[in-house]
Amino acid sequence: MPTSGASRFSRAAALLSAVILLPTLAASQDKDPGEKAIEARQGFMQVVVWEAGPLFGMAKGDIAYDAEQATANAENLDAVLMYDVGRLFIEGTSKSEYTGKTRALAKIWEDMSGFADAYQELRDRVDVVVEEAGKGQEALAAAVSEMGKQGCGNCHDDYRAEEF
Amino acid sequence: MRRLLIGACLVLAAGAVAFWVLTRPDTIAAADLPDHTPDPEHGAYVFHAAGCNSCHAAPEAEGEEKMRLGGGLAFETPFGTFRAPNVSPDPEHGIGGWSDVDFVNAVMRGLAPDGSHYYPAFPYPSYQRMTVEDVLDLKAYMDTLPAVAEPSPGHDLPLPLRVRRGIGLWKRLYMDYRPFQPGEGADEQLKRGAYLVTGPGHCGACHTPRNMLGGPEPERAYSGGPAPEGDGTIPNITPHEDGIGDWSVGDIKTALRTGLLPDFESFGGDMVAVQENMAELTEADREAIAVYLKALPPRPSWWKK
Repeated sequence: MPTSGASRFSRAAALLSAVILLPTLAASQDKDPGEKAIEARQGFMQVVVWEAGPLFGMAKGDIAYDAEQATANAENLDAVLMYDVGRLFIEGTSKSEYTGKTRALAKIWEDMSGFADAYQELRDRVDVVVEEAGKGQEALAAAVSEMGKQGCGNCHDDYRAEEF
Repeated sequence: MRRLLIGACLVLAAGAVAFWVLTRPDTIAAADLPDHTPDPEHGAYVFHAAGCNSCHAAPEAEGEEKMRLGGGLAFETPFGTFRAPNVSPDPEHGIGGWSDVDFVNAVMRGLAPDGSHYYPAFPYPSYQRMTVEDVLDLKAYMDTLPAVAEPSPGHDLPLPLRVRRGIGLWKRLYMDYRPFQPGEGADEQLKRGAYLVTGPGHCGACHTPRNMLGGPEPERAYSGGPAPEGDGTIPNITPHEDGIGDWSVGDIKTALRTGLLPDFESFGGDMVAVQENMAELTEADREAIAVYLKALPPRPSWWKK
C-alpha cells in the first residue's frame, strides 16, 4: 500500500509527540520513596525465602534432607535476619496508601513494638533451627514447624492482609 | 371482658406448654448404650481426632499442660462470650462423677447430667455423628487425665440467652441425632475422611459459616468467612480456587502433620492447636481427611465478593 502524504505526516507527528512525551513517561517511572521501601521489603522477603525455602522443603519431606545444606540455609537465614527490617516500614506505606502493591496492614504502624517483638520471636525460633538443622530430618522438621507457626506466622497472621 | 381474659390465659398456657414440650431434653437412656468394653488407648486417639484440648486446656498451654482440661478458650461471638468449661476428672469442678451415659448425652446430645442444655459453642452438632463406641473410649481416656480443682470460667451472655431451656428450640432446628451416614458409593478411605471431618474433627464448627441464629449454613459449608471474633477471616477449605483448590492431597497431609503450608506459609491462630492434634493421627487418617476435603463441593469465598 503506497503511503499517502497525510499518513506520513501523522506518523511523523506521532514520533515527535513520543519524543516529547518520553521524558515525562520516564519521570513517572521513577518511584517515590514509599514504593522503593515496598520493593526493598519484598526483595528482603525473597532473600528470606531463598534460605527458608529449602528448610521448609526438607522439613516437609519434599526434598531430601542434607545436614550440611540445612545448616548452611539456617545460618544464612539467621544472618539475613540480623537486619532490622523495621527500617523498611517507613511511615505511610501500608496497604491503605499503596493498595495493590503491598499487603502490609496499617496495624504495623499502630503497634510498632508488637511488630518488633514478633520479628524478635522469629529470630529466636531461627536460632533453634540453626541448632537443630544438622541433627537429622526429624529434629529439623520440628524446629522449622515451630519457626513457621510461632515465627513467620506472627507477622503473617496479624500484620498482613490476605490480598494486595 | 372476663371471657377475653380467660382466652388470653389459655393462649399463654398453651404457648408455655408448647415451649416446654418442644424444648424437652432428648436423652439417650443407659439401656440404649451398646455393650462395649471401653478402650482408653483408642480413646486417646479419639481425643486427638476430636481436639478436646484445643478448647478445654488453657490457651497457649504447652507440653503436659495441654492435658489439664480445666477450661480455657473464650469464644467472643455475636451472642456473647462463651468459655470452655472444666472437663477434667475433678469430681467437684469437672466431670469426675459422671457415668458413661452422662458423658454420651453431653457429647452427642449437648445435655448436662441434670438434663439442661449446653450452648452449641460446644460442637455437639458434629459430635452427634460420632459412634457411641468412640465416645465411650474417649471417656475412658479422659478419666485418666489429671484432675483440675478449679471452677469452670463462666459465660458472659445477655439475659434472654441465659435461659438455657430455649436451646431446645435451637436443637429442633439444627440437630437431627442421626449417626454418621457414609455417602452412596464412597470408598472406605472417603468414608473414613468424612467421619473424621464431620464427626469428631468438627471442622465445620469454625469453617462453615453460621446464620443469625448461630446455625450452620449448609449451602456454604466449609467455605469459611469473617472470624466471629477480631478482624481476621476463617479460611475456605473447599477445593475451590478461593480455597484449597490448588493444594494437592499431599499438601493437605503435610499441613496437618507439620503445620507448614504451600508457599512457605504456616498455620496460625486457633489452627495451631488443631494441627498439633492432627499430627497425632495416623498418616492414613490424615490422608483420608485430605481426600475427603478434596471431594467436597467447591464453593467460592462468598464474603470476598
